Amino acid sequence: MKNVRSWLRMAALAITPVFAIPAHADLSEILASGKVKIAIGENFAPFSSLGDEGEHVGFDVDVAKLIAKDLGVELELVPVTSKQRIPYLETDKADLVIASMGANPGRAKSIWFSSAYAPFFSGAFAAESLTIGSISDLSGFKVGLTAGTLEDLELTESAPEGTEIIRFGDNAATQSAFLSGQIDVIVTGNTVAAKMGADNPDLDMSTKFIMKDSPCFIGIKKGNLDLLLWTNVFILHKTLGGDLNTLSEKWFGQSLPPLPTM
Amino acid sequence: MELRFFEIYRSSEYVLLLVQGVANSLSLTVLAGISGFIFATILAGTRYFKIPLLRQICTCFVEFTRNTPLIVQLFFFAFGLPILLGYQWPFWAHALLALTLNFSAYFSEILRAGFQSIEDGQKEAALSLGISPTVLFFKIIFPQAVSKTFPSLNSQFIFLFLTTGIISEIGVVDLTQAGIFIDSRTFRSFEVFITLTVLYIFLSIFLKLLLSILQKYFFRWRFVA
Amino acid sequence: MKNTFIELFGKPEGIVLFQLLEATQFTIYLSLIAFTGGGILALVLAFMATVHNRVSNITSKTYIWFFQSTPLLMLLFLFGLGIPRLLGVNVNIWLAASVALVLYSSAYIGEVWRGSIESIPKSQWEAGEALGLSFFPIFFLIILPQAIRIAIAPTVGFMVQIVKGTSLAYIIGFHDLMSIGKRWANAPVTGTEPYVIFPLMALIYFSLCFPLSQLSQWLERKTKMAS
Repeated sequence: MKNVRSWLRMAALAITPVFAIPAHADLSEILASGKVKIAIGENFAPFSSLGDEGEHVGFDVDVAKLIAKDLGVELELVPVTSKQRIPYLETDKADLVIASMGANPGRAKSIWFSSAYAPFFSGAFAAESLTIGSISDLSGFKVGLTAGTLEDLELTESAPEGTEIIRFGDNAATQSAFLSGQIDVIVTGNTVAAKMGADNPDLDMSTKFIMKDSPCFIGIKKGNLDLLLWTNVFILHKTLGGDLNTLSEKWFGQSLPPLPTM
Repeated sequence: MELRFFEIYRSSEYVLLLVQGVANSLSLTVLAGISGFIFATILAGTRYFKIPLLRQICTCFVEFTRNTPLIVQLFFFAFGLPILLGYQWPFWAHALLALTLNFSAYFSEILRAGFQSIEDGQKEAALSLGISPTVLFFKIIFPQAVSKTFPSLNSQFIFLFLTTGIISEIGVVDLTQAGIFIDSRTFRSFEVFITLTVLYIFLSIFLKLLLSILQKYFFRWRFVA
Repeated sequence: MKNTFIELFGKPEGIVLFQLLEATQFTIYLSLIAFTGGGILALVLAFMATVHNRVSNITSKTYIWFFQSTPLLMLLFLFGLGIPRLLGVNVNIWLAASVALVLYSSAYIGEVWRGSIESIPKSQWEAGEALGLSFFPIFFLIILPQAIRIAIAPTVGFMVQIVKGTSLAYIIGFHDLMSIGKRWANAPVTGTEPYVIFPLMALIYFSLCFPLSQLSQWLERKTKMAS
């Protein structure tokens, strides 16, 4: 069996140079190639979504632009869905992942995380009339969230019996489900919910409870130490310099709260 | 590179989820098959009897459904229509509706060909004997057409069953969603999807068997010379 | 080009339409790759199924049975996510989607061709033998041309399934009509609501598939008339 496996591995590696994109993984390679591939959320306003011009705009996009500027390289944005974030890093399809990604020990087994760069409080949001004070009140309600996200993992562990948790393929489906009234409660980030409310003035949505303080971190492939260290310096610099605060005001309508560092 | 299947099977939670997924995929598909068949009969019948206006509507529906991807139809029925008409259903109901309509378009084409293959002579003979069109349809045309086209309907049904995995995108806990859930917790994508593939293969074998038993039972009379 | 659309339809409709149509070309490319690759493999499979060699026959039949019993979605997940993760390599999205679709198509098209070859009366084979020809020449010069006439309508018909099949590739990150359309449907830009974008996407798919369906039906009538 071992021989078959190693043969398979060699065969795969033999054909991948023909079809695979070469690994621009660590810092020196990025600088040498003049291009950095940053994965952003395909559709998760206000972090990243399509704007009027058909280009991606948002908090994460602006951070990506700042990174490319400071690196002095060209930026290539790679829109990804939630479940693609870690695989894209692991398979070198992206050098960095800036897609409202939360950190937990499970994910940390597969990739490295930078210091936090954006706030994200996951919470439950529902119509004004529903009385939901905390997670234990969710019993009997249809709660929608995106499969594979940290909210998914958190809620699955702590939700009471009788809660119907509906896991959607991506954030878009989750939001559509709430907007079309097919779910009672949506569990997502506070800034995301705020944006939904802003974009849909008739939407009956109020904050029920905040589940977890789960700030966003930049994802880096395991082993790219230089890139990780550089990224942390970048975040420190932009935090102290007020750049991240400006972006926070622009996209979240609030100033940047203190964020944990690694 | 290592294969770690035991991570999936060791946890009873995951195994239970897979079983639940199998049950849901199977039941939803069978339900959609039955209701799709009923609706298909209506569609094919309308076109066979050339009922004005309705016939064109049915044709448009069938053509549009057969030439657009299931996923687009699914999203329309799960999110688009509920907003327009203002109703709230559980997601398996949305999926069932979309699957029923989708299946019916394919079945109706097969049935329509089946109806047309019955010689006109039978229709004329029946009508001249004073048999009403309804009886003609249900007792003469329909049974013959169904028994003729049953193999086609079978293979179409199995084919359509294999396309139902996409309902996991709108939150229905079918076999595919069970797999995606386990994958997002264990990150053992290869093992999970190989397991799912094997399960789907077993399910299609099971359904084929079920349908051939059905064929033998319902259409015994066909094989009596 | 983009600006022409913007002028005609205004923003953001013009941009949306332009991006959707631009993405549709990838849908078309992937469909063509699947059809061509699947077609070539199908020919091999059909050949293997009809040649007088038990091993060959069984291999072909098993392959066809396997890929006709596996959901396309699973194949996409396996090649797009499962195998790359297992081997820890970066697999190009086009390669993954293409391999999945080629394998999938080859089974169905192969089955059609096998059926059409087997439906050629034995007398044709015997006539060829009487002329002193061996298996290969008989297969390619006598049987295949006749089989093509029978097989062409269902083969074109399956092309429709391929085009619809590409709509699943977005799950593994393929940026085609489905992927870009979904992105726009959920973008918080006025004028791009889901009930606008999804029917538009359906229309584009319809305009790709309907002509193929019609062609397939026309071919079926023509080949039926001749025989």
